[in-house]
Amino acid sequence: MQKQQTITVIGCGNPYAADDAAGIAVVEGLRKAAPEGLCLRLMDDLGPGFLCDFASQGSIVILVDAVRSAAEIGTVHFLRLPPETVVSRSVQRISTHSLGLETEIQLASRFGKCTEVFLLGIEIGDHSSGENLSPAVSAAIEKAVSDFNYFCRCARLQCHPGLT
Amino acid sequence: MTTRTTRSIRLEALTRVEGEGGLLIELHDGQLQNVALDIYEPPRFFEAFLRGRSFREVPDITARICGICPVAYQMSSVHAIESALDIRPAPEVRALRRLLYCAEWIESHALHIYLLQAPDLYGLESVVALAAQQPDLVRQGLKLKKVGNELMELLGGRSVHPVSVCVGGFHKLPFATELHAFREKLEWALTASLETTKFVSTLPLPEFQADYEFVALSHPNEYAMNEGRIVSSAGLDIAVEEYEQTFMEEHVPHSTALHSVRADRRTSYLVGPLARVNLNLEHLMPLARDAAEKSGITWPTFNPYAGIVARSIELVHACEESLQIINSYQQQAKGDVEWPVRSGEGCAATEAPRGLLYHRYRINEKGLVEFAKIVPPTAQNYRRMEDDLRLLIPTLLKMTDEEIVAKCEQLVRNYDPCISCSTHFLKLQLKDQ
Repeated sequence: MQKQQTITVIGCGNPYAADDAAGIAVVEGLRKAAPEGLCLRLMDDLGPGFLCDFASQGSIVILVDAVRSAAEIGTVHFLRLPPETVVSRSVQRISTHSLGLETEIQLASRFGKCTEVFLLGIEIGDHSSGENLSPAVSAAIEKAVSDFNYFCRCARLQCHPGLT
Repeated sequence: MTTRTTRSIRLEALTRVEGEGGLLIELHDGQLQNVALDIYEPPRFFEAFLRGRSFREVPDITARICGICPVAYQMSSVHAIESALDIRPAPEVRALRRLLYCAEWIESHALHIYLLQAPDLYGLESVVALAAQQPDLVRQGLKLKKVGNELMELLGGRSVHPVSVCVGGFHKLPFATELHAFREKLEWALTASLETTKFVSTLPLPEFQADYEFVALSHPNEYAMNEGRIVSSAGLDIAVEEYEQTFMEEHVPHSTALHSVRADRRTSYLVGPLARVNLNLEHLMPLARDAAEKSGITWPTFNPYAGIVARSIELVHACEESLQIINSYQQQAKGDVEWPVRSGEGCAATEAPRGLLYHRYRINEKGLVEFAKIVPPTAQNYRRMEDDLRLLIPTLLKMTDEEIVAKCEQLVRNYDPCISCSTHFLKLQLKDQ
């Protein structure tokens, strides 16, 4: 029987910036549910080179983060991120510490650390200072946690489930 | 009739954490008029919001200032508070704190050497391009960095922003068996660090020299890291308590970050690995000292691009000293000392990966912070970076804008700057009026 690929889930965000905490809240929710076969990490415990450091060889990585697009607040996005399509908004220059997501994914892919990277994004509204999530984002977080197995199945099939 | 041309270059860099910085170069009739390393980062108010907090919270709060050098902030703060409260931690605590600092030097120096500066010296745009050409080299850098992070996690409870350090010692001491089990990784890291010194010695370092005043801690018996007197290549030799009389911070209109200068003559100075190796060469561990002698550099060196060599030597030192500390470690029953809370004021300076880091705190009788002052190494280097750019840019004027920008960035990268200890938005404008 073929061994299932490890899935590394990385929650990003600021717990003190209202809805921006969505990615962290999803990972905390997953921790309570304790699904098997997931490696759960929060971005604040990771540094530059994090994908190479913490993803197991050949794993699937799901980044969970607050996002803003034209969609309705509370929308749950699940997107495959092929390395060549992830472009940092601009290139890090004088400040030298951060590598940027583009570099992280490219490095990890080159070294075979991750076969696929996905984004589980929660469409947010308010990201001002504070610890309260808006009702729409709270509901989206619950949905993202409860539907997570479905996302994992889609990720293992390396497909885009068409959720937005 | 004189024809004047206007050149304008704008670079933008943005990552997740907000902040803004830029480099403005102004030329008049082809002559350099002004260089300004603009830092637009929003103030982070750490010194302000430490006020009113218990002194016990300070090491954990200050560790959050930086994800690359949290130990440095933790060490300077905890030592300053212990100085204020006249607390003397046990010798074993002192050794373990050096070990924790070594872990940070390993991860930070490996990051800068391999992922951030080496691509410059190979003439490549990024570490991704370097990984395509030299995959084993980048793999080695990543693995070295990971050893540092793992050692930090073992001692500090987390690989970033550790939480084990407390005023008086450690909340929890590691088991001797845990540390001994880590020796194998450190032995690999030591070998890899020695290889690093050989590899950086082959890199073509640009020719550039300046009349630097190097400033670092110095200790009579060890390579200064967590304590010592502040010395400089210009003959300065002061106690840490004299720091604020000797150095001052100035506000400049083009930057929200303060610039540090010598208080008496308003001149710049340089802190960091190059200063440390130049000033404390004789206190390096044996293999590190040997690597320095074989590096092809004549120490002291006044070429800032040799900073990568200095970092590699400190990488060896950190691995070597870590092994020494672990080999002699004997677990204690208790990790901290007890003391009565009282009022007091104290300061401390330690050597962050990027250079001298100064903290001062005043604590009241309730144990609350009344005043905090933090002077990070990058703020101490900003004026020096601008001075370097003033020397460099006139030699570049026949180059294209893109080439000038690349050369300026390379020079600034020598300092491994930590602009607000996070990431920033950079705009570069080059104007020829």
